[in-house]
Amino acid sequence: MTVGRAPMEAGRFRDLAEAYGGDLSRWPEAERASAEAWLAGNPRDGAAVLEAARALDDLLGAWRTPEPAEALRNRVLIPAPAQVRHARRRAFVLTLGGGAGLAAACLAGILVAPVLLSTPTAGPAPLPSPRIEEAASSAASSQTDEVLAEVLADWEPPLADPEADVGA
Amino acid sequence: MLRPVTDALRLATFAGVARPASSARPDDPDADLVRRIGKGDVLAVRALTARKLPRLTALAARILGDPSEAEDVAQESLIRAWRQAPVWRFGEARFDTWLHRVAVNLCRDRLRRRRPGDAADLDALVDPGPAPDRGLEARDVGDRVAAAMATLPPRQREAVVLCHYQDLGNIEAAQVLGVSVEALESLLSRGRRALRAALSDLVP
Repeated sequence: MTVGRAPMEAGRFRDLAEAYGGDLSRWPEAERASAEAWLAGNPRDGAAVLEAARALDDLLGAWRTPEPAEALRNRVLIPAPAQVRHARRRAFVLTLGGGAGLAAACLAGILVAPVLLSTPTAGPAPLPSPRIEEAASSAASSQTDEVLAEVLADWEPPLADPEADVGA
Repeated sequence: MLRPVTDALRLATFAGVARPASSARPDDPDADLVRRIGKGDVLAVRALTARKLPRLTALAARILGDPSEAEDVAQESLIRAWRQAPVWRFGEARFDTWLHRVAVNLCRDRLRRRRPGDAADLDALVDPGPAPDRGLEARDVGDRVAAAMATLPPRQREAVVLCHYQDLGNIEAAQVLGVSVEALESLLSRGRRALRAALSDLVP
């Protein structure tokens, strides 16, 4: 593909018109300057190509869709405040959940470290009650998991960068 | 099944990695509204609705060929936008591109669920009132275009709708469809060639 300011060829100019139509402002930004330069050097051929593409553009423009009804606007607007509030609360809980998980891990470390670091004596030292860490982590994770389930339900895959595919 | 925290963190990391710095687009015209919506500004909600609802309804109507389903898609897309606004990561993809991707995915879900033989009500898809500078003929042409668009393969139809009707640039349209810019261009060329053939008696 010809990109940037490299000279454009007639075939590429026709390909772009065929794909993007007869309005140069809709053409890929990276190729617009080259296309304009080609058009300036080939005004008759260029005009013919663009005119043919514009004829189809004009036809497509005849398909107009109705404006959204007021009832639809209300269906969108009415739940908005509650949805935003819920999302903010969810984001807060997520942050809090992450913090609680970290705190639980630290607490577990503090409780277990003396046992691990102590030298063995006559008998095995009693381990700290696992209930403390279990309670801390399960409370945090169950609450967090509920929120995460909602987050993941709404999750859209990240937008890939199509430019990364150029030349691939 | 509920996923553990680690899975979510892995997903978040993946999302960050999948958006390279080169795709950063700080010139998002919706950024201010999205920021205000995230803080609970009702006026911003109204403004974004006025800006996006007609676009999303038209997008879904042209992809699905069903005005009632198109309304549902537009509504669901904006509801997701309200949920997204407080946690939106500015400076990456444009909000409008993300919103289009949500709507296109919802349309695809609905198309997948359709049974063979479900026909679109093409009459309901065309604006009944002719614009002042157009005659009744415009509606007839609109009907023909709608019918021709309905015959295109779904991906070609999506490409034409995004680039011609929604005015998305090639990079944004390719992001919405999850394809390369070359693949988008191929879809557009094939789609427009098919439309030109279907409407050949109207094209000079």
